[in-house]
Amino acid sequence: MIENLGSLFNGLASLMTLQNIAVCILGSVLGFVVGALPGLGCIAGVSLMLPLAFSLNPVAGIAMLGSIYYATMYGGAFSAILLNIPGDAPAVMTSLDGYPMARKGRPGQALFAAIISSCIGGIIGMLILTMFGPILAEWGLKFGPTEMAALMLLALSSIGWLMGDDPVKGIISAMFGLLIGYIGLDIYGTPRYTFGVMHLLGGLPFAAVGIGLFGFSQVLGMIEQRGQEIKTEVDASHLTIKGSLPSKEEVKRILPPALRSSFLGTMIGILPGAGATCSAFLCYAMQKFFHKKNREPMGSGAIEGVAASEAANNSACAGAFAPLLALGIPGSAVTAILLSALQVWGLKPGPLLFTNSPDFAWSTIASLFLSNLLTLVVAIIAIPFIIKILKVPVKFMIPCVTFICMIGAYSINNSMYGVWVMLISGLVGYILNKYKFPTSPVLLAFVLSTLFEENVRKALITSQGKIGIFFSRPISLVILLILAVLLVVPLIKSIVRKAKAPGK
Amino acid sequence: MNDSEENSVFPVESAEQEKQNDANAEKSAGETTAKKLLWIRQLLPAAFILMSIVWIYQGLTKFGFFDRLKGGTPAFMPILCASVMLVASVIALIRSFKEEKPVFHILCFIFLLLGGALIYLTKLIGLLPSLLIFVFIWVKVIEKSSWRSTLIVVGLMALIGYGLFQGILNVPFPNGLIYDTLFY
Repeated sequence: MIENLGSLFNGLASLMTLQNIAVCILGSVLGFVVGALPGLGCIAGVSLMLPLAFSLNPVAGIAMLGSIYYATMYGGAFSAILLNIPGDAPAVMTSLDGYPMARKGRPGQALFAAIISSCIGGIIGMLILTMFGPILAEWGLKFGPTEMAALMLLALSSIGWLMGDDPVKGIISAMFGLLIGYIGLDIYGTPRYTFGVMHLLGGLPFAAVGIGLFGFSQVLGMIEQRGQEIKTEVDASHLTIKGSLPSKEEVKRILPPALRSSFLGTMIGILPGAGATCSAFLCYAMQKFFHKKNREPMGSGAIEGVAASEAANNSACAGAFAPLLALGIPGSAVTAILLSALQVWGLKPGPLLFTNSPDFAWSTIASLFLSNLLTLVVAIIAIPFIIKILKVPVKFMIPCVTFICMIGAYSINNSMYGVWVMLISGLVGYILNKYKFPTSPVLLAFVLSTLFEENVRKALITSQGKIGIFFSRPISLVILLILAVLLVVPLIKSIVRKAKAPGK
Repeated sequence: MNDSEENSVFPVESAEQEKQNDANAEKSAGETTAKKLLWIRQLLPAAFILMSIVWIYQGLTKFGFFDRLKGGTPAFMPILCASVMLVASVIALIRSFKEEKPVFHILCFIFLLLGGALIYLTKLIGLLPSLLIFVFIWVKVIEKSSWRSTLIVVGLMALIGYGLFQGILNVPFPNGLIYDTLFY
């Protein structure tokens, strides 16, 4: 463990060249911009910069790609908080509390909470990776389809916490999200629910659905408000760097959820296929469990919600490097792209990487630390400029947000299909809002649908159709028991409360 | 009232009474219209019920529900989810009779139709020019902003579209029929 820390410091020392620092800064800025733009996300950012990265030496190249990976997580939070348009899937949870905070006149505090928590999550994740990386990677391999299905079920149940006042409408929204997620090819390549439309064979692109449900439906809401005097609690003093700083009390509120989510998020990030999105859901649900009742409720502007989801998604990014570097197994789509980049440079991630190329391995890990800190600086510098977006009048926001939504939706697959999906999702989101159906469960369930189904079906194949497999495997059983506790305990508490106060 | 009005077979109403009657007539017409449109409350739950039935029917007829060897057919999870949605939607439909009617703004639907029309315009002149024209029309014509504001907004969007997305991120936006005909 201590040897690893020593190697890490050596890696940092070898990274401290002008070129490496410059590419880290470039990666941070580009990743930040790409993450903030709807429709792109970290996969697009990393893959678009691959040609540039290949022109550099391996250390500088992987440093730049790692910077982009981290910075997109920061950037996604900015558009989620300020515009309620999540830049990527993990930022959906951030928008649940971040956007209400911005509407209540605390956009800067929400952004600072996001970047501080992201930094804490990234640093803790990388420290865990440094000290326990290979051990955790081995542990991650014990998670088969049965365990992953149980974990996905736990993540889906976290949606239940977001159902608001009407659980029936929340269930309908979640089921609707699952059903539209099943459109397209299943895990065996069988087309289903395409109704003869060729484009639907590839399913509905997440980013287009997200931009439509959250972003474009927002535009439709703004159109309704045209001509009305909109009361907003945002005044000029909130849009300065001084007015944006969180108070000491708020910093104290940020730290516990950020620390908890960093540890849990790293563990989840290590699991192949789980990723930052699943990590953000579960850590948000965990925070809801720990949330104090005398604070704002989660989902209506609680700073703890922003801290939990942002720390989770950045620590999961760090965790995803554990199976990649230690075992040569990519844990997510982005790490798969990084794996291909490493192979182009002639490096073979795996147990021998630390033996055969220790300088490169530790420089890579050190570059992730450096990029985390540099992105924090870039984000802090950007805050006073970016929060000025809230001063833009609605009459200009309508066409600008429409413009960005459309080009973002097109950029997903370089096809107008994304734009159509975005427009239809916007209409659906508008109608759901009018009928007071929550839209967050739709998107969250949509994201988890294919992963959940894939693991359930693989588990049932393994057990030849016997459902008992979910209860016979120890890790799966533990996860299901945790789920049972999370569902039953609040129910028992409410029954006991009602029994104690019969006259009321 | 004068003698002729008193002796009139048909009672003559005063101006105030006429106004009162007009207001009452408008109110009852509005109430009738509102009552007629109350079925809108049931529209979305009914749509979800229909969707559930379609998903279950398609799944059962095309794939079946469960295959022991393959661990569930392609319709296994969709049928389970659609069944839950069907039950919940029926409950929502029953509850909807006590809910308020949702109020829609016609301008939102017109805006969506414009969005669809914009996509067809893309085929002719390209995506970015179509969108910039839309931004220009919205800011200058609909919102009646000054030329300065209009040019700033359009310029900024052009910078984002052409500079950032097309220039730096190399997103290949469609150029449209006219551009392709002239320059290819």
